[in-house]
Amino acid sequence: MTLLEIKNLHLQFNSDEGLALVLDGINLKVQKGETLGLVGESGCGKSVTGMSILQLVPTPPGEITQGEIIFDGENLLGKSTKEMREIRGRKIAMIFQDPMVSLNPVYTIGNQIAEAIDLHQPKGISSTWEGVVDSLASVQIADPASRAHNYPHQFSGGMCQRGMIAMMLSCRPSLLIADEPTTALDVTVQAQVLKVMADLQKELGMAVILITHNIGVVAETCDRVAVMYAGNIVETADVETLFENPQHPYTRGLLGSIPRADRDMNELTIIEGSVPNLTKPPQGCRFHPRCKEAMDICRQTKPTDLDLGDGHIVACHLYG
Amino acid sequence: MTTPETKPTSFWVRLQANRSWRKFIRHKPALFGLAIIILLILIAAFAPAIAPFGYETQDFSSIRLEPGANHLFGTDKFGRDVFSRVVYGSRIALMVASLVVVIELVIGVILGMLAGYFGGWVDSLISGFTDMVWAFPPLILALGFISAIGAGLVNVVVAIAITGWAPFARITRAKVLSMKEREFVEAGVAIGETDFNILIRYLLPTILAPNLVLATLTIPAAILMTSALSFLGFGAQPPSPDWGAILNEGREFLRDAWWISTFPGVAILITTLAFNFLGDGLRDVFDPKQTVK
Amino acid sequence: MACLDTKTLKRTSVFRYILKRLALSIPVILGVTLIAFLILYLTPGDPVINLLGARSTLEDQAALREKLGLDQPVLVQYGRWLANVVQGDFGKSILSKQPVMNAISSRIPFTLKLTLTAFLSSIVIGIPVGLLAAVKQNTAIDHISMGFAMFFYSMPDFWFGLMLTLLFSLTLHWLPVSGAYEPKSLVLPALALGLPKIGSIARLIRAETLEVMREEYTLTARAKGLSEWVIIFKHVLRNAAIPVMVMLFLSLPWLISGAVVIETIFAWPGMGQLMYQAILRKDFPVIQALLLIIAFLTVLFNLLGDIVSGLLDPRIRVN
Repeated sequence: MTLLEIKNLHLQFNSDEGLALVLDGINLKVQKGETLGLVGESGCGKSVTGMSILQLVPTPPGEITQGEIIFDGENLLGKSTKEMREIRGRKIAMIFQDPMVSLNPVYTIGNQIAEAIDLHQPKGISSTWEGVVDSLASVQIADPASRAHNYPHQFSGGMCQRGMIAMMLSCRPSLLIADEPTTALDVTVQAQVLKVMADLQKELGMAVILITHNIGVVAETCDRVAVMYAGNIVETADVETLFENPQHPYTRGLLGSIPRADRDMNELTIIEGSVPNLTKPPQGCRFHPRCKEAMDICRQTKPTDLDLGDGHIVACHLYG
Repeated sequence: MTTPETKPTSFWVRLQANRSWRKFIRHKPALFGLAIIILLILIAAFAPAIAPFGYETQDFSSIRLEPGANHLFGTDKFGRDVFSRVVYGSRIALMVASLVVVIELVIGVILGMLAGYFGGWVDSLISGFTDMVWAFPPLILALGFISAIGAGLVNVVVAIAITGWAPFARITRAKVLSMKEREFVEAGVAIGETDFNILIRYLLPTILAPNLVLATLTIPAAILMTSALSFLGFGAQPPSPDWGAILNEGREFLRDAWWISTFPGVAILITTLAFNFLGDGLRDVFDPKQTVK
Repeated sequence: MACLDTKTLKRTSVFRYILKRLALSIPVILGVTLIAFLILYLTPGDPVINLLGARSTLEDQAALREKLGLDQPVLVQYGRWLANVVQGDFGKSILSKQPVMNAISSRIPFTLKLTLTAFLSSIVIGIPVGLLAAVKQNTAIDHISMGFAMFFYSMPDFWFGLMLTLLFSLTLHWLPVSGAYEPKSLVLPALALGLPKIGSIARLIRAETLEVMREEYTLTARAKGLSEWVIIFKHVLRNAAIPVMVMLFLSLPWLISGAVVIETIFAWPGMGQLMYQAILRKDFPVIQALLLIIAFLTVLFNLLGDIVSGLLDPRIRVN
């Protein structure tokens, strides 16, 4: 069952350098309870996609010009500010890259979790404080009752991120948007944070959009993957298909650029060129200047989404 | 050692960091300030051509005349043309303020660079001294010095300059501290550059921007302080057309000849506004995080 | 139990923090006394004559030379002078022949009344204006209030004082021109001193608020579903308050220094007017004492600002 569907989402930024078309017609589906990985290079629009679902992109400079975001059968873009506030934290939650700066330094962790619980009043909790302690326990913080009195600076990075997860999941949302949740953390605690997230996902039956540039994390945790490039989603498939049989030249380049133990080092490919300036995006397919297989049509016409079967969708003229 | 950025900066941070020179060109208040400053400099440069009368020219047949066609800003108790005096006063205001700021800049940059670069007891000594000077409100310390060395415009410049360098020393020290760990400086040390060369050729260029911003923002403060001291009678002495001095002379006639004190004050306000607008713009461009007051 | 433990822990850390700040300000205070002491030596002429006045008797001069130890090295002289100062003995005013502390103590309440009134009125107006500008960033409200703030920020306060007199006393005859004979007398000097400060306070509040609004925890608060008002008043203001408190405490001594000019214009019988008169008449003992008192107040407010920010900031308070 589809929980979230983004249809033809366009978003632009008014910057000093001009108008940047940051999201250029995004289509994305998230099923109930699944984990969707959203991958791509830095600056491709992954974070903006996540933030635009909750309408957290500041306006100005950001502006959604076209498209629909359908969540639980309702278009979020038609909602009032007040209605959106009731969805944030209650039905859709979000966590961010750097947990050390994502928690307010002057309030205790418990205070910040209690704030979410008091605001949304989730069912099945006898008291706010109990909810706070339970949610800290659920992210495996030892001695949660006294740890709730701690300030963020008394937590380690991994604990802060687990605290964020506890806070955001205390109201049992049906969708969690996790924006690079482990990027800022030590490698040793990354796995622990991902496991806490996965356990809670199973328990709450929640869907997760995992925004990351780390292909390894995707392989371990995601059911399906969407690959983004310069404001477009170029390929979507379930995780096995994508790794076994990538179709879009960009996806192939991206997968090729991670060194793998089972492959010869000579095979390591690096995509040449850099991410285009979105105030002056290339005509046609935005990837064509870096694409080894670019054809004439790629320079003129933007490719449309093509269903290769089993939900494997690719936007590339090679298959048209 | 700095390494190339490996972690992607978050979208949020990238959004905030979108600043450039274009921002200055689009910064209307800053351009407005710059235009006024250029105009003021032209007025000061061409004062004899602009002013219809000399700043000392007395005319006892036209004492305390209201503003009118002949005397745009009226005349004072000696029949001097207030407009001409205000025009000539711009020379004093701009020169005194620039002189004060240049002296403060030199003292502050030298002490700040020494403290930041050598560290250790040099730093403790200089920073301690900076803190002490900082502890006095500058006007009070300047008054203290004037009480010792006497009134007069030159003494005012000296008094303000030797009490006002502390902010320059602080930002220079902070900048040097952050820059001396950078690769290019360490490379200079590695190839055996002398301390003097490192300070002048490697570090000095990096501290210019924040000091330029601070200098622009210090000029209005210097103008306010010199004119306040002249207003109190400790600065420029009659018949100087210093704006503060004109204001002081007009004070006793406030009831009957409001124009004598009013127009030099407007001139001060316009000048300080212009420099503050420009300084704000420069700060937005160069130093968005700068908060030294 | 756990709750009690963390509370006692908090208290000891605050205490330690305050002690540390106190210890750090001792050298500054000492240095300040040194500067005030040395100003006398910068003055041309015999320090004894400077301190006693030209018309003093030779016996008095000899007595003071002995008391200050002027035949001793400068450091010893400073030590003796400091010992006297610590006991509140700044010598006698050249003009009034009264002990300096007597002359000053009658003036302190006037200056406090003036500066505190000015301070409070500038806060009461400056904080909401700056906050409004930050919340409505880049709108007409922001531009207008920041233009207004810049106008006051650039204002020469002595001229502003004269203009207020011109309007409210000489033209409208609502308020007295000068003196401190009736409660109404306070209005003009307080406005002249306080209104220009609105500019710097509003600009400071706006800058700090915007800074906090850019922090990621503000984004987190929004992602939680909190309303803008809760975000502003609970999450943003509480953080912005930390640097703002420090700056407000720091700005009090600036108000006292502004009082020199304003008190002179309005003949307000406070420390500022006394300073002006003392400088005009070279009354060195009074100048030294005032310099020290103002510098001491500056260091004190600086310290208070740091302590308050320490109390507000758990990153300093805890651990």
